[in-house]
Amino acid sequence: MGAADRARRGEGDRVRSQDLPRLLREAGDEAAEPDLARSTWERGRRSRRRRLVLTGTTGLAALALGVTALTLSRPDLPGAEPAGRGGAAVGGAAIELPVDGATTDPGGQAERVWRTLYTACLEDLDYEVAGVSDDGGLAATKLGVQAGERDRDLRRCRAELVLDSPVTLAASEEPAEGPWPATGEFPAETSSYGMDQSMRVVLTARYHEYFIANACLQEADLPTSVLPPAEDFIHELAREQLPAWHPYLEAAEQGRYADARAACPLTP
Amino acid sequence: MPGPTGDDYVAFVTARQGPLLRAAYLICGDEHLAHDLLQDALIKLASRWERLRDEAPEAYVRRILYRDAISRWRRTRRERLVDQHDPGGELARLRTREPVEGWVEGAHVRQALLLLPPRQRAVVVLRYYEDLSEADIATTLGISRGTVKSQASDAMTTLRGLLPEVEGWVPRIVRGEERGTA
Repeated sequence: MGAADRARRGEGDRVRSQDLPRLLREAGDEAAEPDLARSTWERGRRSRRRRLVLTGTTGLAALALGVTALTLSRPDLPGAEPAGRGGAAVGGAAIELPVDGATTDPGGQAERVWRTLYTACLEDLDYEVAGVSDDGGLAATKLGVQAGERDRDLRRCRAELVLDSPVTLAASEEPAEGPWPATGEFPAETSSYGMDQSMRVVLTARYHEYFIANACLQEADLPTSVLPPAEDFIHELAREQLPAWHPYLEAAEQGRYADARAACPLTP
Repeated sequence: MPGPTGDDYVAFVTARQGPLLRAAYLICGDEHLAHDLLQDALIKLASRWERLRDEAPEAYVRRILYRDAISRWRRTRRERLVDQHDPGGELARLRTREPVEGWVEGAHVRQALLLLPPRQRAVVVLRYYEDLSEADIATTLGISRGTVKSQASDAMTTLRGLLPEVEGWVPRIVRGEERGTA
């Protein structure tokens, strides 16, 4: 007599497991009901707004002037609002870059780090950088830049700054875990955000990389700021997908980004 | 167009987040990780909601969820392989625990699933938990229908070995496969 027959004959719960779909439902039911609707909506919309957008020149007049604009901003804004050195952005077709800055704290420290460092890097490449309205995005313009050069320049900044969240790296890109710096105690357990061991290793490596660069900058007598505790840095990076501290930040704010990058390059 | 508060998105997620989380839990075996996987997939959906809301948002989320789960497993497979060589690990416990006639608890099923390669695990969950057809499974995972069949067959062979005390469910699975390919 098969188990299904026994179940039909009323032998009760002991033979409840003949049905794989039902077994799987029982196995899955132990997960608590989530509440993700509102939080993911807000984070998704911020992510959408804050994607780096490369806007190429499309207007003939602008082409005639040899002006190309590079806009890192929300795509639904009509244009850039000149700020800082006053570069004027030109609208056009948008090309998304594979950077996803889903910060949960727009206007916060992580966003400030992102804005300061991209401004410094692009200015170092002779772009004029402007803020975009109150969105927090950036627009950069450069006379006579060629098609493809903008892509290359943005890639160069990405590589130099090493800002992208490392938890999305492929396995082949995962850095090895190095010795832990004396100034920061790595947390034994990072319970927030469900971090597993592999994530901790990658985030630890990022902290270690920044730590080495910071020490290098101090050695080179370049501007630095106080390294945050490892646990704070890692949690912030996991939460915001952007770091709230960066070894080049102080140098960039003092106009010495190029010196810092040249003296103590980061490894992408 | 959705309003600034995304009411239609919120309604969709509120209705579907439970089943999606449970599927993620079955795939990865860790509730926190399942939560993170689903959260990441939903954030991607929210950022593309205008484009996806009238198409198949759940299929999109499922595709992201399952593929991310498999990718994640591949990134961490070395650690997991080491764990599986632990003589006191899940495999040993599954094979040595006292059999109880016809009784399999949810935890045992999850443990057995975790011993499957990730794609086989995904196929099992998509087929028998989410009740998707072979064609839909193939689309979700980005593989051929033939691969779906072979992965399902291999998975069932392994599960039969891991949970031998479960009588009667293998014929039921065979019938399910026949129904799914009809």
